[in-house]
Amino acid sequence: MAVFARLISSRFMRSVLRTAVPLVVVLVAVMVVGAVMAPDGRGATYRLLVNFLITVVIVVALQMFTGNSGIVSWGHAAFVGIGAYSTAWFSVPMVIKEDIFPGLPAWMMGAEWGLVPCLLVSTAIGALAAAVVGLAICRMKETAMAMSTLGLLVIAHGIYSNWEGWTRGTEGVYALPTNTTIYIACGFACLAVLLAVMFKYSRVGLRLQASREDPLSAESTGVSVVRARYFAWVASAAMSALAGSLWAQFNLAFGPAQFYYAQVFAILSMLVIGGLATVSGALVGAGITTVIFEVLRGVENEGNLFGIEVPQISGLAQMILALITLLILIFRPNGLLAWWELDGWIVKARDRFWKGGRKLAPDAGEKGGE
Amino acid sequence: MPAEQGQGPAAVVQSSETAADGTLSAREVVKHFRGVHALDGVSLTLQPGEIVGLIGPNGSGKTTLLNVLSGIYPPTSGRVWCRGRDVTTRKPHVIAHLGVGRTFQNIRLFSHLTVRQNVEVGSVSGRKVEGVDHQADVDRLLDRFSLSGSAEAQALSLPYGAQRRVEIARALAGRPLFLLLDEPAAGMNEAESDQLLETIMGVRKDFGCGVLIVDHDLRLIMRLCERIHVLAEGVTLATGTPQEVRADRQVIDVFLGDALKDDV
Ligand SMILES: Nc1ncnc2c1ncn2[C@@H]1O[C@H](COP(=O)(O)OP(=O)(O)OP(=O)(O)O)[C@@H](O)[C@H]1O
Ligand SMILES: [Mg+2]
Repeated sequence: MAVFARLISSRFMRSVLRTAVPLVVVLVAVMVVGAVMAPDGRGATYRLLVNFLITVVIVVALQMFTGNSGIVSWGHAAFVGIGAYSTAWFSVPMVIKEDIFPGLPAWMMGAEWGLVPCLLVSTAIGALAAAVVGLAICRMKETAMAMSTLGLLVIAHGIYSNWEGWTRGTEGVYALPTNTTIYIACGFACLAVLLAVMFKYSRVGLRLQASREDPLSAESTGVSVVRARYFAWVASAAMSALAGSLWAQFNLAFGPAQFYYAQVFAILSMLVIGGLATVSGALVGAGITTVIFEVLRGVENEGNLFGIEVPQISGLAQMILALITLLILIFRPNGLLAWWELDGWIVKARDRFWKGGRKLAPDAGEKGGE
Repeated sequence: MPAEQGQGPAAVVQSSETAADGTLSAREVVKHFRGVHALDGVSLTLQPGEIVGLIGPNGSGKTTLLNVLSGIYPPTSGRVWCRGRDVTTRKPHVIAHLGVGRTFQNIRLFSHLTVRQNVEVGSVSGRKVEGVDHQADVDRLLDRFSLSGSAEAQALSLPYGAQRRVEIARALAGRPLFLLLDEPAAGMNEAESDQLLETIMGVRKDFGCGVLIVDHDLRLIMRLCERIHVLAEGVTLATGTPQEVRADRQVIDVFLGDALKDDV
């Protein structure tokens, strides 16, 4: 408890609130738009906004690990999948479950749980899985670690595709109950953002960022790099599984193809475009990518971009996203937001607007700044 | 980073010979890199509260000795002891927890973190001491090293001299009993090196830690250190007080030569 009290010290709380509040405002604004435009909870716009809010949870979860540790994970889609399948095991009606999941033990067969128990069990299973594989993965060197997350993705895909009795293989799962509304999605997106910001400014988060900058001097400063990575790995996988559960309870049917390369690429692109190092970057990247995908999907389907006729090309959205990601990597390798959270950019913009007014005060005015 | 050694706390055994002493010491340390004999049986002991200079020509193994002492390389043979524990194969963070802080020859800050965060990592990850107020400690250190004005700036945005100060502040934030400094005066002019001398004297006085300092600035070393350890090609050439080392025929021949007559 004393540790907790020290952690929630004033500077920590101030930093957390300063960063989290603008992001929460944006998320709530998205929710309000959705609620006003589709009060009945139906329609394409509503679906788009809810899926965006769930995507925010997925990208923010990845940011917690990859952004702070600097180690790219290609495997987080596997944890989203764990969350989705776990939810199916505990929520699909028994009559259908007997048909599609013949392998389930009797006590699970009877389970027809609601939103909260499904979220809890999915998060727990995701955390457990990450805790086990993390014991091996987090001891590796940086490049080996990134490679092994790719292996994890492929192995998980193999399991989802072939473990017929529990996953129905490539035919996929259906008949999940609709439990995720725009309010619930927004609530969890806000929670995810708050947790990720708190993590970033916490001691473990700080140590992990130090290891991202220079693992050797972090170790010499007293940081157990393995321990910091392991903690973040498990926390971020748990959040990914939570997102998978939310997603499954909104989209209701899915198969192994939904947790594979295309999804990994999309999530990583979002993070790269917005900027790995910040939680704000995850949110901005998710927003921009969602808009691009939406516009381009329209082009793909109707051959029409803002009223201009263009030829129909399948896979156009993927290609354009890849191109944008490449351009960002070349011209702005740290992403759009780079090292500053949204609140930092707001301050910068304000200072530029009031030219010189606050710019010199109070920090730069002190002596010793060199 | 060296590979995980996979040793439990049981590996930290107490030696009857050293259990009581609170020193950091290298015993007959040998370190070979493929064919290169970087260290060939060097022994050195650092007491808390003393300032020891480690000098020698380029490539004589000074940095390698610091790396072995701080756990970055396991030695090829020989042992490293810290406060009565054999830490020869322990990871660097374990050695840091026991109270060994260090800086690097080529500055290694957490570049994209702020100056305050750099020092904060040291404070929250260093030697465990009951009832530490990390924020107050960090503020005090920033103030001491005239970094308060740039506390919120990214470390890489600071000029060279200030970056060196951040590195020392970060190491001190971990409440070290032994501080290893690798060429802190490199690239400094005379005035700056005088300033550094004051700083290190002050650190010893206020923090009570032992300081092992590597530098080519003999003017600084001779004025600062009680004891000097001279390395050449991985072996100890001489040890003693500045006066003794300065008078040592071998040292003058092999290494110091005219430099001494001019500078001291
Ligand atoms: N990681 C390494 N791999 C291979 N050889 C190394 C390594 N580190 C040091 N050496 C070699 O060991 C010898 C001693 O190097 P070291 O860096 O300890 O010298 P130094 O006394 O610190 O020199 P300087 O004054 O130039 O800093 C040199 O020949 C160097 O090339
Ligand atoms: Mg050196």
